[in-house]
Amino acid sequence: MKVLLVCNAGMSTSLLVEKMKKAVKPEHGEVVIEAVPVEQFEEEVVKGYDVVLLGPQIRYKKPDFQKITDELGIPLEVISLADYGMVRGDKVLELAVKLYKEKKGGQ
Amino acid sequence: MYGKEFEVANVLRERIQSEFKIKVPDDEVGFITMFLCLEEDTKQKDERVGIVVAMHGEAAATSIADVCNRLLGENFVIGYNMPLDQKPEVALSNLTNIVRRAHRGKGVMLLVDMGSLALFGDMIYESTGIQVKTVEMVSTPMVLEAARKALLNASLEEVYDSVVNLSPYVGRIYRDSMKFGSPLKKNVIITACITGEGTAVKLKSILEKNLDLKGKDIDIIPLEIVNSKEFKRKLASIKEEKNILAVISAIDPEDDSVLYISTSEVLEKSKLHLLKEKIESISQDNIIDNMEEVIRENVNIDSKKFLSIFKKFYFALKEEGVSLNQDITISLILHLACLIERILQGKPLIHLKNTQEYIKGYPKEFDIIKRCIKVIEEGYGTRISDAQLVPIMQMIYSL
Repeated sequence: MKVLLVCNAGMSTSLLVEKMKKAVKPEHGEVVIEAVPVEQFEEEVVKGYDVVLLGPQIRYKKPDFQKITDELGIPLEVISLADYGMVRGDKVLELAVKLYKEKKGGQ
Repeated sequence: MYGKEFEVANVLRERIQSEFKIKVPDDEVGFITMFLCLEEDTKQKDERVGIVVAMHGEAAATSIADVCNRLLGENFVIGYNMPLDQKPEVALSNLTNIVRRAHRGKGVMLLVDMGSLALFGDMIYESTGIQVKTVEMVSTPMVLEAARKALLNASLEEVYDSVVNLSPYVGRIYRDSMKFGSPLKKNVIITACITGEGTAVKLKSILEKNLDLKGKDIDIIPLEIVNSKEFKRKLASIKEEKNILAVISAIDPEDDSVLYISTSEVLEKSKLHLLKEKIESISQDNIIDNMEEVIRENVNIDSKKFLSIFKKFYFALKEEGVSLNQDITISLILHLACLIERILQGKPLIHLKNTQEYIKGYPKEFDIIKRCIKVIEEGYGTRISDAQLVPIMQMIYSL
């Protein structure tokens, strides 16, 4: 599973990435998580990701980004403020796994 | 003991008997006497201990007196300003007149700041025979307490004790806190009507429907209004224990620290929006405090220090007219914490590509950020480059 996290500068999201990586268990298989700033979204999203997650501070970008991800067939979701604020890597990973499974189930 | 009243009651009996052609039994004369004596008791209410505040300076004493009078809804505390160039003799004679005026049979409590004013109480007692007790190093909560006690018809002795033994923590709750409301006090909204049951309860349910109060720990208290004075006094006493966000009633509490919405305005979107904003900003404060632990766990900096500096930044932005929602506040805290950590530890920073474009494209916004970020730079004795301000600006303005 390849997960793309998008936030403003990729600074705070890097904290979340660390936490998510620690939460990865064997049953998740191979998990790759990348964090990029908003401006790199378009060039990055085409690189074969399974799930895209947005930081709550760029919630307002969701409609724009969703057009792109819908075309690519990638699920996109905004991380809940509580999980993001508390840097709950395990919860965010759960969200990614859920979206990933739904996507696979739908195909 | 109540001979005179009894005599009058007897006269009244005669009149009632002749007017209504009935016989009034002796017991009733006793009752009438009691009513007359009751009147006597209420008359004594005016015999309260006088409260006088005397301080050096042009306005200190009258300012404190004003605050207390407004909070208590009574024009009761008298302030006397002693300009620095006023001769003590002049001040003494003025104060003596004021004490005479404030004395209503129970003596006068004199609250002063320092110096010669502290000696005047005894001198006035000597010259007038009016009992005067003096307390030094006056502060607003002391005057408030004195006035409150006096209004309850306490004796001079009791008023004095309550001021001297006042907990030093009263009035310090706001220390080291940049919040609008005290963190220790529970937030409440007051709805009020004449009975405290009809409209007030209805208003409560309207508010509950229109404001999202779930999980916010804000109570709505329906209150009855006996009269305007009593209402204000009730609010003042609630205020001692709780943080009143807003008052919705037909009577204006005339308190600037409280948002007032009249009963007819409650359905207006604009007024309700003000209240919503106030509620939002309160929960915002809680968020900032909650982030302390998150930062401590995840970022290698002193989280307490960081958040106290962040609050300054937050309020600097607020003064510039920039208010942040929850999403942005939390993201900003995390982002800045990471940024500070990297700067302090000399780790590489993340550089965006188009920073110059943004700086040129949003000069006004960039200026504000640059001004506000100074409190963080000063707090950490470091510099944050223009390039690093760009993502912060993007976050704050959702660019």
